[in-house]
Amino acid sequence: MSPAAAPLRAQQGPAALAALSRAVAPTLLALGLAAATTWLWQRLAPVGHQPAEQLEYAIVRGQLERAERIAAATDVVVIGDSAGLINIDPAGLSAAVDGISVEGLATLAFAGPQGHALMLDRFRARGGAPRRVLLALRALALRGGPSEAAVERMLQSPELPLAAATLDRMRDRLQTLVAPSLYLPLPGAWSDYYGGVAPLDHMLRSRHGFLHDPNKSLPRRVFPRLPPYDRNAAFEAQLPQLAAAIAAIGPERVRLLLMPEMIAFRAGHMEAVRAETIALLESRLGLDPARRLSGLPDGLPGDRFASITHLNALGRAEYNQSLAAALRRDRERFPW
Amino acid sequence: MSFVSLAFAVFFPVVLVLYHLLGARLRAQNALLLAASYLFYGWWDWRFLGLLLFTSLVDYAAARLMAERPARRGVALAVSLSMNLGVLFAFKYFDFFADSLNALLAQFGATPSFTLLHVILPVGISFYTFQSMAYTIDVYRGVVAAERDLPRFLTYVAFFPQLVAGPIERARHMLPQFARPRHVTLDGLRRGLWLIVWGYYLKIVLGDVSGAYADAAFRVDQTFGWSVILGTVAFGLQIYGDFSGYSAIAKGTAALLGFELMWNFDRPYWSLDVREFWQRWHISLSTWLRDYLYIPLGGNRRGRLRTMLNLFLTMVLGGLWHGAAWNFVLWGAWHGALLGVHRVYDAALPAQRRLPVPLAWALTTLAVFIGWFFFRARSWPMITGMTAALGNLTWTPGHGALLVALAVLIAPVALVEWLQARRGAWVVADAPVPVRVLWEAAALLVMVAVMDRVRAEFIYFQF
Repeated sequence: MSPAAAPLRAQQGPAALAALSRAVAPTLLALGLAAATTWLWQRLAPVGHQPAEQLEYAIVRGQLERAERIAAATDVVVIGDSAGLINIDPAGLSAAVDGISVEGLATLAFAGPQGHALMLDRFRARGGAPRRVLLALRALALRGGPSEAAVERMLQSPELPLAAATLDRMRDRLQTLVAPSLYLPLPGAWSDYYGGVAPLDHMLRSRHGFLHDPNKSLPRRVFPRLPPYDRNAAFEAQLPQLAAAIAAIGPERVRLLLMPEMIAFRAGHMEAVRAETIALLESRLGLDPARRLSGLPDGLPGDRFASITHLNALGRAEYNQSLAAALRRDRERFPW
Repeated sequence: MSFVSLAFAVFFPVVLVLYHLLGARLRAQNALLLAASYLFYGWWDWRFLGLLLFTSLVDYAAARLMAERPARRGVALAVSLSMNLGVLFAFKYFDFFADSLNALLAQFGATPSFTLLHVILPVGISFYTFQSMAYTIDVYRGVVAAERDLPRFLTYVAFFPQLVAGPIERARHMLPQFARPRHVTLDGLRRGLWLIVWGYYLKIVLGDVSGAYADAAFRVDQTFGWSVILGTVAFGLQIYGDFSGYSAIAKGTAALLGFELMWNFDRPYWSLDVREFWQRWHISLSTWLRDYLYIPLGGNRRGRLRTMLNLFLTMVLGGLWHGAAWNFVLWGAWHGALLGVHRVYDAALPAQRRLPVPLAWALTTLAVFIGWFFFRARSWPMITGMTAALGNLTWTPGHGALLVALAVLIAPVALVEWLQARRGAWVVADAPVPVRVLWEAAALLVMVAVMDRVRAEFIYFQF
């Protein structure tokens, strides 16, 4: 590429600066036009500021909105942490249990019992009366530390707050221009499967409030490692809120699903941890041990896991088969 | 100092105004450029200023020796080459070769004995040593005269727009520009400014946005074939946006100072064969390799087999220039092999029996992007893991989203390049003011929208 001949007179010194200011004028005009357009746009149609932890908040926001929209006559509602969000297959359960409707309102461990209670309360407040509520938690539920700030934010309106500074508001407005197509990739395999937050949010809604972990399986080296177990006082401190939500909906309708862990872990202290967790949750949440779902696996082989708490496609299929059978038995014992 | 930094946003306007205020005082302008260039380089790590000065002084002295004592030209050149290649070897390649030798020895049960230096790689070392070294070779060959004016020569080596990532300028093109009064024209300034805006767009939007997609895809534990394919496309866009963006900003900033830098990129992804690709991609390096490596090796003057060997060796060394790692060697070897195959094909088939244009473009692009896969996959486990993932061509919603994102990134750049191909390089710069204002406003809006993904560093800084 060779430049076309430059016809104008060559300049030096101050004359060059004058030419420079003439040359730069269109660019400054473009800058001014861009700034003015954005300023006006954010004034006319302001948008909320996306918090840094976009994936987490997208899930929480999505589920909060769903809690107010899903059918009140839903048969089975799932609340809980990411084990409930990921490990349950609504279509498979529906097909295996006489076409029952299954909707997920599970979020993430950081929401804590208070966050799970909030989902249930929202659903109930609009007349939701499910036949069964499955409280699905990972095996190491008592270890989880709910984030106070996150719960506070959840208790607020799901609408995102406006940024304080005008420049930030302008940037937020502009980001909505590119966000639908030029998404920020999610971490690791989540990016491969979902892309960014927006496609993930879309799938969460179209798949009845459930997602799946796209990781194939855990690296072999992870299997033998048993996660450290320390009970988290903050989790237990929030149990009364969840107990109140359960009491309002009817504890006889609620079933605790403590997700299976890797069989390799069961050689350690996991068996005792599991028994302790179930006993503590049932007693603090007012759940009747006699109504416990039976026949669910406590452990699965390591190759059924995408992460320490999430099942992969194979594990999910296997677990949901057992869950469907358990729900059928439950319905026979305690007719809906 | 990076072009994408607040420091540069302050630095460059100050330098520009001071420079033009100096008017016709050439020596003062050069002194200002020299001071500014050393400040620009020292902003990263002032300790490496000594290395830059040392390299420049040795090459200046070597060239002077060649001019004053023609009988000692060979010795002077040997000193210059030894120093430049020695510096490159010590800072860039020693650990790579020592590590590789240690690994080889360990394979045979011997105890590894080479101690690694773990020195920091000075930014842009490959660029300025190649530029400085080319000068002494050109003086040796009689292509350029040895520069007498030391500050002028130091400024030529350290000229900040192109110091850390090229283009690798030739002395016969650049040195005379430091020796004569620089004039600017309104057209030249307008074009320079357009190059700067376009360069930032390429870097921030095309380079950095697609870089995030490439980073997400290039993983040892990758299991999706389409992620490998689309991730490689994303990396091809990233490296193009990042490097051609840098080159455009460099050319634009130099133009505002009244200098003309060479074009380093000429729409490379429109190439119809691999040879053409190398005539359009990183032109300053490919011509450097041709003039100072391929031709001295014998070029195409010693038969077909030797020509192909020369091509292969040149490209392998070109790969190694990019970085001290085996994946760069592999990338260079891939292109060396492709150029060899193309040469055979070119000789075997008459022009009328060549591939149709769309097919030629598709095959060339495929070959180039396979090369980018080796370039980006920095370890053997990543290469093998991601290659194995190609067996799983499951299409996910994420792949759909990525495909849309890549199309959105490519479309405006392809449009501008298509217009450039039809109406010349300055088609946007010379457009009527309202068109240009709208175009630049749109580009600025998108740049701000994706600003949170900006990386201050350019990929080629590490080379």
